[in-house]
Amino acid sequence: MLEAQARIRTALASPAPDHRASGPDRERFADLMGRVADAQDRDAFAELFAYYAPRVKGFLMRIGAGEALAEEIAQEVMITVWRKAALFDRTQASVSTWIFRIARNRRIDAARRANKPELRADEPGLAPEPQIAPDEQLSAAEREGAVREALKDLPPEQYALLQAAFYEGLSHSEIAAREGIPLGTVKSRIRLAFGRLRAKLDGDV
Amino acid sequence: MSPAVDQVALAEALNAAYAAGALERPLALLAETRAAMGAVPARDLALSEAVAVAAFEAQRPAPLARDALERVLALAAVAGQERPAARFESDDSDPIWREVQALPGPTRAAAQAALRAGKWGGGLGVKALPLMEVDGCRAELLRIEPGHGAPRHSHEGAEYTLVLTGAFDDGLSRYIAGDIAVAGPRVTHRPIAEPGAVCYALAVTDAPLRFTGALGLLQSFLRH
Repeated sequence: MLEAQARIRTALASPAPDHRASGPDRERFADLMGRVADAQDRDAFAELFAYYAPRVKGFLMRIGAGEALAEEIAQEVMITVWRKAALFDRTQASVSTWIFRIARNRRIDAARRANKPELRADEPGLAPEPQIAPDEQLSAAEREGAVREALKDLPPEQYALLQAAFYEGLSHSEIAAREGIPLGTVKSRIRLAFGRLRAKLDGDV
Repeated sequence: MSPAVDQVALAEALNAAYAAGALERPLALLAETRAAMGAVPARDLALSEAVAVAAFEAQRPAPLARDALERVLALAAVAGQERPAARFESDDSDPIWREVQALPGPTRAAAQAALRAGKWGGGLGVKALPLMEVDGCRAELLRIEPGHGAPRHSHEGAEYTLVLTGAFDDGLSRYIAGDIAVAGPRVTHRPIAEPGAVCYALAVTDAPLRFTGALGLLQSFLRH
């Protein structure tokens, strides 16, 4: 409960990210990952670091980590990016998705380490098996591009609720408390917004 | 009787918590496994994750310490790099092993890893393979033969049971492949596999006290 309140306070204190900004150059970033894996290319890594490390740290602070812990974990995440670069498969995920998976794997780890410093988490989801046949599936890049386009069309209040649930990881009741709207409204708005994204993606297939 | 828990709402809550990284690893395994069981659940989990990643890319950057890149490169040089693991050696003469091969990918991979270190336990008609435990949150793979049931049990935390193959009835509701049964703390129940196919299920028991995440996000689905 205390942690949830801390997260809500933190979220209130920081402005919503601008989801309308264009994303990184996905092909280039995937190439950079290849250079890190194949040639231990430090320049390629430095470019990835410049884009991702501050976002990882920002994410961790947004969900309630203190500055020092966020810095420490962001550095650990980037070490993991170097160490596991060969597991990155550009046909399965974008670099953003892959690095965000590492960062979010540390999320609960961060909460736990505030209490028990010796514990570490494993790294799920970095080399996942294809979940459905490739010909039935939008490529990771196509899906992310389509979601980005669809998010632009959502009303800002619906986008804010999606972000609270899917990025910050707040429960519907925590969102209702933060936004000062009834629980039922939170549930129906999230379902409506998610339904719009779904319809947009299915329409594009 | 159909499941008492609203499966759509439960899946939505699981997917959102998974995308944000708010689930302990055993519950994340359950979310991944459920997604691997069909095109629609897979699409919904991928969509949930894509929403999180879009927000991540739009995240306002927080600058790192001036020497952070140097430090990371120095530590990375010591740590070296990992290469993809070799495929697990299979034992196709074992019929249970062949059944495990047919399970949804994420649970199959966890079962293969578990079988390197441990083995099946359990008694007549019911086998259990511990898959992972993180800070009191446990996942195990259950293999229940038709007409048999998991031993009557209760638990201090919540229990989420995803049916992988076959079907079971816990005395209150019937659950088929893809359904998740949810039992709150102190509920005593006994799932029994239906006649016909062997029932495989992924059972995740949450710890009674949590620092964050799963219980808070999912507690509205608990049956008391």
